[in-house]
Amino acid sequence: MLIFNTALLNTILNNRIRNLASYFCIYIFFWLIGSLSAFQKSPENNKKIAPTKIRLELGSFPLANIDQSAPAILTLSSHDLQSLLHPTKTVKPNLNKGTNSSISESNENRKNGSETGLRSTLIIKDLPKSMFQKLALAQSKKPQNEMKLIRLVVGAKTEEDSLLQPNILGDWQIQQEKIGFRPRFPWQPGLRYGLILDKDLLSTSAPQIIYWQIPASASKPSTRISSVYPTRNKLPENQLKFYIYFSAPMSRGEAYEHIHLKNEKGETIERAFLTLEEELWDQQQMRFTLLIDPGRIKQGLKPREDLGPVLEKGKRYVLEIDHHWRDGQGNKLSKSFRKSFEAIEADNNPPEPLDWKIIPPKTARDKLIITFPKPMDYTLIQRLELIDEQNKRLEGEIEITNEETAWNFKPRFPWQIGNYQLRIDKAIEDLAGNRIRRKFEIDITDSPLQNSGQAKDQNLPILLPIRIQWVKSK
Amino acid sequence: MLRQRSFVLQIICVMIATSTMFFGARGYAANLTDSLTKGTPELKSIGALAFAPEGILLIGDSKGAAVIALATGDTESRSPKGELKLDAINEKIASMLGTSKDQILINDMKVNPLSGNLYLSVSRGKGEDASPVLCKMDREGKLTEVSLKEVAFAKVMLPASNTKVQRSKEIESITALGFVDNQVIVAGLSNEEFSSRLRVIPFPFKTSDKGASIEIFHGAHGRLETNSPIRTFIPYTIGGESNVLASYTCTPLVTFPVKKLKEGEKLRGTTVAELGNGNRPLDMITYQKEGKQYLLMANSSRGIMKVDLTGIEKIDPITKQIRGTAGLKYDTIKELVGIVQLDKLDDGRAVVLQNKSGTLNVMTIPLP
Repeated sequence: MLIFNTALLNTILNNRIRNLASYFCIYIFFWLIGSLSAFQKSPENNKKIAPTKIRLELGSFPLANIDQSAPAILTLSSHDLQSLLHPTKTVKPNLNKGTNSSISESNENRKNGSETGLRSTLIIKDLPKSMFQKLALAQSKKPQNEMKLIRLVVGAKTEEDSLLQPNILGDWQIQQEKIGFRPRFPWQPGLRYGLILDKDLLSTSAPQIIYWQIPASASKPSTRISSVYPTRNKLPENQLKFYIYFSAPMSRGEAYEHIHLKNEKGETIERAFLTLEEELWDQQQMRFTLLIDPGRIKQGLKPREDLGPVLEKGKRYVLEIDHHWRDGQGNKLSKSFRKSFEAIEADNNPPEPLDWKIIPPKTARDKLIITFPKPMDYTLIQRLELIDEQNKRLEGEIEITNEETAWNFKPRFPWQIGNYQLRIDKAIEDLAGNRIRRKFEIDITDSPLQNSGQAKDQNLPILLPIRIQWVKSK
Repeated sequence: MLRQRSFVLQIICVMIATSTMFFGARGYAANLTDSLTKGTPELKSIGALAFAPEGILLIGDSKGAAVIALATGDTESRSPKGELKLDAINEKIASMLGTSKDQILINDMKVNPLSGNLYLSVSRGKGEDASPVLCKMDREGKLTEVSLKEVAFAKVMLPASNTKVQRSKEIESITALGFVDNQVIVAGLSNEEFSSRLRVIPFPFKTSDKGASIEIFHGAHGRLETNSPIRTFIPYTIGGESNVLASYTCTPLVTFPVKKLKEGEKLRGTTVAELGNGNRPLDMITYQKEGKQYLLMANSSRGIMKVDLTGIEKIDPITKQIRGTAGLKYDTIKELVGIVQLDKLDDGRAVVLQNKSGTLNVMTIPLP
């Protein structure tokens, strides 16, 4: 709760001469403006500000008036500032809870803590009656998302610029001598907001701005890189992808600034990665897909001709991810990450499922393991599925181990003796982007482009039969 | 008397003809909008934009794996000669959304060809809980949020992949959208597979029709080919035939005819230019000037590129390894650097979004 001292008329309104209030209001208002301008010039006079107050309330947040040079009419006295930063009592607004039209805190806010509280309605109260009447009159024909005479903006560098800022999106309500503003998006702690009181409302020559903010709470960096795939430290020189896993959701828009590929001398290899504005994240923004520039992998393209391949056989490299990368909360990573590896010969052989070794379970609760002669793409290999005789997919846990050369499957229910099939999605790739039975780069002199209309069939999954039976039962 | 009668008849004929044209055109024009239904589309994200006829805006929602067609109702141009200009638009949008400029992303920007207003897809926030926002800017530089509440819209879901397994981690980023011959073309990029994800969906959308998925191959110099993802594209007419002028993630510029975009078709783009290193196209427009066709291209690291499309229909596909510029000739307009978005405003002007040290300015430029 924030209390702003203003030089206005509540004391008069409390007297019995209410019928004369409006006249006095105008008179005293001008008088106070004059006096307070004088106060502003001499800081020691600030304490003498008249006791009338405008209150700004925002859920349970302690708001801070952050601009000491704010117009005198709204400057806090030191006493109020203290009560603000260390609130001893909360002034509860008189609310008509439960109706849509009432100005109240959101249900979310009352239920939960600060997270949902950032959607709270900002309540402006104790506004002098004359001002309130002016506002109500001006507002009577306006839609909810527009408000005359009062505006809410994000504070700019100068007061002049602040006045030019567009209004923050949200809905206004006027009720019971209170004005409520429910923002369309949550308030942002640490951001300076400006409440602009129009000159017609104040009857002054210029509008006034009250700057306020929700103090930002300092949080510690805790998000880290949990793993990077492939895990092997020998990668083919036509390596295509890396997957970077984080322990918490990350922020978008800055990924490529923080990922560096360095050579043996510690020099950064320029333009090593395909930079995509869209950034390839998963739904939770906890996994980032990094592609080495395919223009420098594919044979005969200009990027490769001009700059050469990114990785060369026999050389060592370091994939570095710096800790300045910010997580979804805006905090940096808790530490940087380094993956050192050596480039080996290019892999131009598409994976052949017939070369895979199937190790059937020995007991009903054992794992079924499939091993591959070379590491596979960590994400895509998880698409392997087992289907039973009824053509149903078996539920269970998949684990990829041994530097992505083994697929372990533990079924949810014990194995039943019978015939199964391994369903292999042809989109599964190895580290170099070679798909099942199809090279990354196809030599079209081997397979001419004459299969119009058949491409769909060619993408149907491969099925490999697997027989489950118990050796010890023999 | 006879003359008078024939004059009256003439007037009646003209009136009938005019009204037929008017209502006929209206009847045709109303077709697409009429197919949309009222409701509130729920977007999980907002990215690529494109305009279809009648002021219908196509919106790519990568996280939601959907394309939404929204009737903007913004079909009249109020000041056709006015410029689109606004400095520090990212700061102003951020302010409108009650946040700071480092907490928003402008994902795409398109001009509504009917009204000349600018539409911007914006993410408010950068975390996984970012809110998608659609903004509009008019010729006076006034910014507003385009409400998605109770609007006429249609939505089509994109199948994440060929099989039925639920893959919570796979997202297909919609990198470009286009409307040609009553079809919506969607270019996608998977965060798992390195493959072409081009879809052609008939419009109006039908729930049963998810559209055809086409494998586009990139043939490098006649011998090797890869199933490469298309990064961005624009519809373009070559010799009276609808084509797509597209750029792969690995920089070559290719064309392929729209009529070949059919289910199960394996298609290889004809490489018409190799733009070389660092010239990854971000946005492209085509225009005509002094009887010649040009392509204007904003790219990731150099100035705007102007490509002369003369003879594109006759060009021999680049099949040999060529050093230096290959295929179509181009100039780089060095003064226009840092262009992150580009769209055509009218026959003589384009609108750009220029990044100057983190401040994004909207400017109108004459087409070079």
